[in-house]
Amino acid sequence: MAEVKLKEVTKKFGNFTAVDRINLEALDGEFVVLVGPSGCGKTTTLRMIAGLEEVTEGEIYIGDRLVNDVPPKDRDIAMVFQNYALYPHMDVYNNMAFGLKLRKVPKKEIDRRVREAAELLGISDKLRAKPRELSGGQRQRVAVGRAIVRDPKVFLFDEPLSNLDAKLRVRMRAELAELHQRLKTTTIYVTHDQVEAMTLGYRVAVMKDGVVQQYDAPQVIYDQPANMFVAGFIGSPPMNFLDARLVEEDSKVFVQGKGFKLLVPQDKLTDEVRSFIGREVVFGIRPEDLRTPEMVREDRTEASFPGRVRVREPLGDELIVYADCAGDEVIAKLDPHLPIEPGQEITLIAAMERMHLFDPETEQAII
Amino acid sequence: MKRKWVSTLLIHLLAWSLALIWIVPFFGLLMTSIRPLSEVIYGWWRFEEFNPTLSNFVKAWNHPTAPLSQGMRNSLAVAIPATVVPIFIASIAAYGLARFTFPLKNYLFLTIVALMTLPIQMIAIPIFKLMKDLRLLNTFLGLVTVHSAWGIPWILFFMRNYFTTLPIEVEESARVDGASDLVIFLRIVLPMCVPALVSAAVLQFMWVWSDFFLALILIYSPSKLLATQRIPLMRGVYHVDWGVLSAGAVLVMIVPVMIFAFLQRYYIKGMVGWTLK
Repeated sequence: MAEVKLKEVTKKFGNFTAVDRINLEALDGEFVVLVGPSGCGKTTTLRMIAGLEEVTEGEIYIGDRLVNDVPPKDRDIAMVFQNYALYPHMDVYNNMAFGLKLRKVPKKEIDRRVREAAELLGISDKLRAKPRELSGGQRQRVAVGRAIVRDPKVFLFDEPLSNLDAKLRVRMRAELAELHQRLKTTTIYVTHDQVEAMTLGYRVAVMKDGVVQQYDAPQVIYDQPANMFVAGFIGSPPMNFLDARLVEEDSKVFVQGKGFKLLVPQDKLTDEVRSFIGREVVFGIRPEDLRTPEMVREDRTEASFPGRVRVREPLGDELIVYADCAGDEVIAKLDPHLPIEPGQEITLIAAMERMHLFDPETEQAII
Repeated sequence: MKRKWVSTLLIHLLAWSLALIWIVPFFGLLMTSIRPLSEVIYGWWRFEEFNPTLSNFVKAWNHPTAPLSQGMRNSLAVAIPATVVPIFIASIAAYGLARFTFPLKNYLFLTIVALMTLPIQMIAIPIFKLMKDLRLLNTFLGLVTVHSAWGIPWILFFMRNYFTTLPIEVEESARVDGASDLVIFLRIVLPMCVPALVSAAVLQFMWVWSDFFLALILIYSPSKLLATQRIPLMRGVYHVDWGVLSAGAVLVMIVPVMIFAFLQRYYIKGMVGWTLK
């Protein structure tokens, strides 16, 4: 086991910068997730750690060793690919044993490790099957098995679940989490799925355009997004962003937009927020932080604003409402039992203690 | 509904006529080879008398001046190495072109592809001279060398295209598992390419086996003549025994047909493989 450290790592393909001076550290035994939209550089980063891409600039350390010029086979890592990348002409047993054979591990030891891994992953009865005879989930297990028999210092996962159907994905996700609990091997996991990122990662690095936007624990990323990109990327439906202005009246500060004027709670009024008084801001509020008067007992006039329902999406456990608020679209996640119909006028109450403000120019969070 | 019926009929008619045009000459050859000369002298399609016999085959096999038995042995001695050697060389080269980057790579590949358009007749004289200078005239080694050289460009082209359709992650996975380039090529890539290798082998073998032109230029000792060179020699100066001639042709044909029949399963996979990703 080992920690992984990236220092100012850059990757350029010709003139295109895929990864731009990123710094990242995965502690020994930590499960780190790189998440972002396609083309954000997360897979390139992982491939540089694996040694499948050369590093243009910067340094990568595994343990205390600088590995920039170390070939993949000597980095003591194992990688699981999105399309499993099993050897199609070998059976399951030999797929898992291949790496050990190349390392001249004694036959008995290979046999023990392969059977142990197969047992752990529930594929003991498939050891003689060829990859094409297996289902997607079984193939995925073989790919994971191939990684764990090697007992490497670091596991690298490149979107390992995205080829599975939704139900299986949820199950494999839990299995991967359990596996990590048991093996405690440092893991770096790439995905575009925010649910995978939130559920699996001890820490999550949200990436965009080759830059790490925020690297923190999942709950921190959700509660205190560093900028509008992170705020919009994590959370579903995404956070509402409304153009507004901070105004002060009678020593109270309000965030005022086209169709709303909401009181900013006292404890939110940091010096930085105050410096924006009289200026344009972007007001951010998550759909789950919007309520209707029926859902809130006390009077919250200073946190409410009107809207007209355009679309309703009942999901059973919740109701997603797309409302038009003086020209702004606002998405709210409401109680599914509320009698809300399209065209209806409603009042939305914002949980202002969970409001966000962003600088419209830099898109960075103010609070 | 009616129009569909008519078009189906037309398609069937067309297909059957094409098939007939294709099959009739072969059928004639087969008929001529299994009947005595007296029966076929006025045309193989006359069946007033029909006494099938294998004597033509025996005669061709043991022909006094140009025995096919020896010719087939010679042909195999040329065709097998002239299939294995270029496939091995071209596969390695094709893998390099498909997976590695090096200066002028694309120009090199283009040159190789351009060489494929060269008609073999154009290089007959230079080849003859070269082989003469190398003292490889009238040797199987010389003929194998020329066939190998001639086969490499198209096999390289074919294999490179096949390699580019293979998922690169499998090779990367092997690399992470600890395999060197050579191990990846021999133990991962080649086994994944069996259909393509078989396709290339079948085509190259058939080409070498049925070749007449290069053999005619490079091989001239009677004992070294290949099977294809012996068929015209079975024709006498004053008398042509069409039965023996046809039997010889059928015998020579049997080898590639059998190879194709046995390997057809892989062959089709290989041909389809690189069009379907």
